[in-house]
Amino acid sequence: MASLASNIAYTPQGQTVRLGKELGRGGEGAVFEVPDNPELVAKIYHKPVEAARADKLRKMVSIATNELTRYAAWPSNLLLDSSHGSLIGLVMRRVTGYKQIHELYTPKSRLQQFPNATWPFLIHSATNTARTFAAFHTHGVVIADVNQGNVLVGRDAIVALIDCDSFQICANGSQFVCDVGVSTFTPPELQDRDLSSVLRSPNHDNFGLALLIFHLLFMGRHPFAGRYLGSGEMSVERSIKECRFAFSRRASARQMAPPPNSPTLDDVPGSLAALFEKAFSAECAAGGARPTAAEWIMTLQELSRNLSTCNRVSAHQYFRGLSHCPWCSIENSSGVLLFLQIGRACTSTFDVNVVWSQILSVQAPGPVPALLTRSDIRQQFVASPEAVAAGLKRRRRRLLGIGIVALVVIFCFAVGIDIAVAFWMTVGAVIIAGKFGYIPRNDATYKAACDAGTRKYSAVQQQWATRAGDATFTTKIRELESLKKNYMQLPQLRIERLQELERNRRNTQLMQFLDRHYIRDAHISGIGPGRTVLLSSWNIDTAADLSWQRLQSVNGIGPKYATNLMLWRQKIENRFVFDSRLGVDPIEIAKMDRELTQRRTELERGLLSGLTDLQRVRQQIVSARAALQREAEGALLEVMQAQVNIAAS
Amino acid sequence: MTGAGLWRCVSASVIGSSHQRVGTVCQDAHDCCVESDSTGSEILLATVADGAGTAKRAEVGALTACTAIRKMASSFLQGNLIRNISRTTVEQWIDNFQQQLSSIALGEGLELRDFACTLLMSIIGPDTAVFFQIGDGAIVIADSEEFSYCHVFWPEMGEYANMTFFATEADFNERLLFTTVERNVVELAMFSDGLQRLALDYSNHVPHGGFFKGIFPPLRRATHNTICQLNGDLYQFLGSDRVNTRTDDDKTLILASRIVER
Repeated sequence: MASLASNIAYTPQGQTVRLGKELGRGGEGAVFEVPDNPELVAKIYHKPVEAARADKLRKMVSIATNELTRYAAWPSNLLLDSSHGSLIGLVMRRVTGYKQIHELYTPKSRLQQFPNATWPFLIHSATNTARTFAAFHTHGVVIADVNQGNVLVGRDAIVALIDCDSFQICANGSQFVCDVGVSTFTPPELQDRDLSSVLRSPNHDNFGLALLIFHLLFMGRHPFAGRYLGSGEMSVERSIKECRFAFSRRASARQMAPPPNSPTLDDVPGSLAALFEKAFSAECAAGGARPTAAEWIMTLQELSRNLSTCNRVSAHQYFRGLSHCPWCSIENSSGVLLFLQIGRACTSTFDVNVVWSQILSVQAPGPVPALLTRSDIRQQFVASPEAVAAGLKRRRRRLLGIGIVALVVIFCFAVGIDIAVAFWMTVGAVIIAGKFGYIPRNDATYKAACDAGTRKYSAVQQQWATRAGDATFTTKIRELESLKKNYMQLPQLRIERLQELERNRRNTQLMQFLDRHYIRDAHISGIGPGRTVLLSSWNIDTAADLSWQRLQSVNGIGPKYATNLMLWRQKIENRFVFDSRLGVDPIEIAKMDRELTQRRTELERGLLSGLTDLQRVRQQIVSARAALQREAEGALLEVMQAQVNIAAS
Repeated sequence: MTGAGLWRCVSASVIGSSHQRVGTVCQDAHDCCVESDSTGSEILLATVADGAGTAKRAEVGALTACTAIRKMASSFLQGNLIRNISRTTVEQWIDNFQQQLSSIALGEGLELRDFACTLLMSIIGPDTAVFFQIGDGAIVIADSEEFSYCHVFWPEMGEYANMTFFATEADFNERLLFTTVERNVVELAMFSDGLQRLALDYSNHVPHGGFFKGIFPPLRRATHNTICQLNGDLYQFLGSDRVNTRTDDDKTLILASRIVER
């Protein structure tokens, strides 16, 4: 600020700009409030501005439009040290209350910085990022150095760009290239190249845009940080250069797999997945056109209109085309909370007493009644006409036979013939009578009917105990009783959990202390930006996330780096001092309440579906009883009729 | 507090070479911590779970088993002593764990058996210790009387070589091995089945003395500051060729040693 005599600066148009409080100070300049216009800030350089830089700034101001100044801390005017003096700084939009975009997309910092942000907010932020890029590209400005630090997001998901003086500007025939870039955000075709000699295009920006959108939608995952299935080390930069998009449907062909506990391309609509596949493809690295900001906006808006809310966790919203909530699975297997809505009142109309009285009003089918027996059948049985006719015929013939023999015997006695002759005549009469007078009883069909009926009856008897019993009903009731008991215990459970949180205060405080130490801000031997991105893909962002167990699962972090990381964690842990005055953290209470709400919802659902189940089970038992009794009755009638028929025939 | 001392623990679960090749994750999990009970005595809680290779979400089952059971154990010990832990207590814990897992399974449209895992736990206080186990893997201990290593349960084997029992089964209580030991346990080793062939002498049905006699001395000598490095060495050892030539399965090893005041 050597060149600024007083706290007054001048615009080239001769207006004075009064400087207020200093807001911040960086390597190249300091930023001040402008008391006369609270929407602006003044940036004053420490050193005189070089000619080339001054040219670029003048050009920037000359193309400044409302749109550019709305989407970015774009210089709206220059500042001079006197009314016609030398360039000492610039005026730009004040960007306050914004956070760097990585604070939003990294789940851990999201809970701290954007505690109420859910997936729709992330989609909205992604759409706004694309809108910002679109605005710049239409003005012929290439952002060039797209990275996680110079894109900011506000509470309302409005996106603003900062550090605009590094952007690449082509205006009125002159070009100002950008000679910097962050390696993990640099497109494959520019990896390892000297950026000061490259004229960047919107197509290069679109790689960075796709990366940012991917990070936002895929829980801070870097698309090129995955599990490398080959041997040797795979840095994120090399992976970008070799187009090893770890989430691609064709990733395995490039020996890549996504990191564990990550959303997949299947979790987003096919149209969106196709955009990612294209943006990160080898064809685009070879010069093909990547999806433009306009394409992203259209596809993201389409997704915004097609969301479902998880029926277990209301903070979970996901693409309607899925059958299950992807966030539930990820939260369960990673133990990392992705979304948390603090202080959201739960409006449930469930009344346990009403539902329970409905459950109790379902009439119990009672213990198994006796199955019908013969003595229950009051019916009179009449033999069938066929059986009667057959019986009659048989008896008549038998009478005829006996008659023949009797006649012969009487004749012999009356005539008084020789005893031997009489004997042989009687024998002959018996043989003839046997031939004509005896018809065997024809009851095979009746016996078969009798057997069939008996078999049917015993089959019914066998099923009776199980199908007509009330075991399923009583089991169901017991099940519901335990659900109700758990439901009634929820308030007590909450008290116990609060006590547990109270007991674990020391540990929670330690974890929060460790959580304030981000690996990306630390200088750990061997852990550069590439490995930081890799760790982040495994949900390892802060010292609290570090454990041997978790580190061993990260491909690319061997025992050596793991030891370095753990030693760093140990060093930080040694600095921790417990503050016994601090109470339980509200975020911890919110987490617990979310878990309890989820449990309560499950129990409510269990009781409600239990009520209909119970009614169904009762109905099943009652109709099984009726059906089986009918079958038993039929079988008994069959048997008894057959027996009467046998007797008659 | 005579007889009591500071526990030093190192532990690691390392993915098996066969799993690494196909790009799956490590399905072993463990948990090891030192807490104090209601009387202020130090208690070591060590848990190992080995997810079934055939189960879809075995790693989730294993991780949930370790954390859930440990949490229940430590909250039980807030108002109780180790000797109050009965077989029924443990059955209750496992029952609760299964309930937690069921609710996770429900949310993902899966079943309990998709989360199948074994479970081993040691709860060691100054003069009493409780051990329980479902499925394979083993717990090896040494007490203050003599430094010879003996196993608590011999690994449970199913009907076939690759079959074991899981803490996620409905009839788990038939397979639950449980014992309370009234001894001053000073050294503990717990491992999953991946290390069984290295650590157990199957012909004599005893732990490999050589294996344990070599592995404990560095731990006994370790200080608070060197333990982190030692854990790194253990981690490296479990991923080394020396181990990988003997097993391609995931492997977990917890080692704990207590300073004994004599």
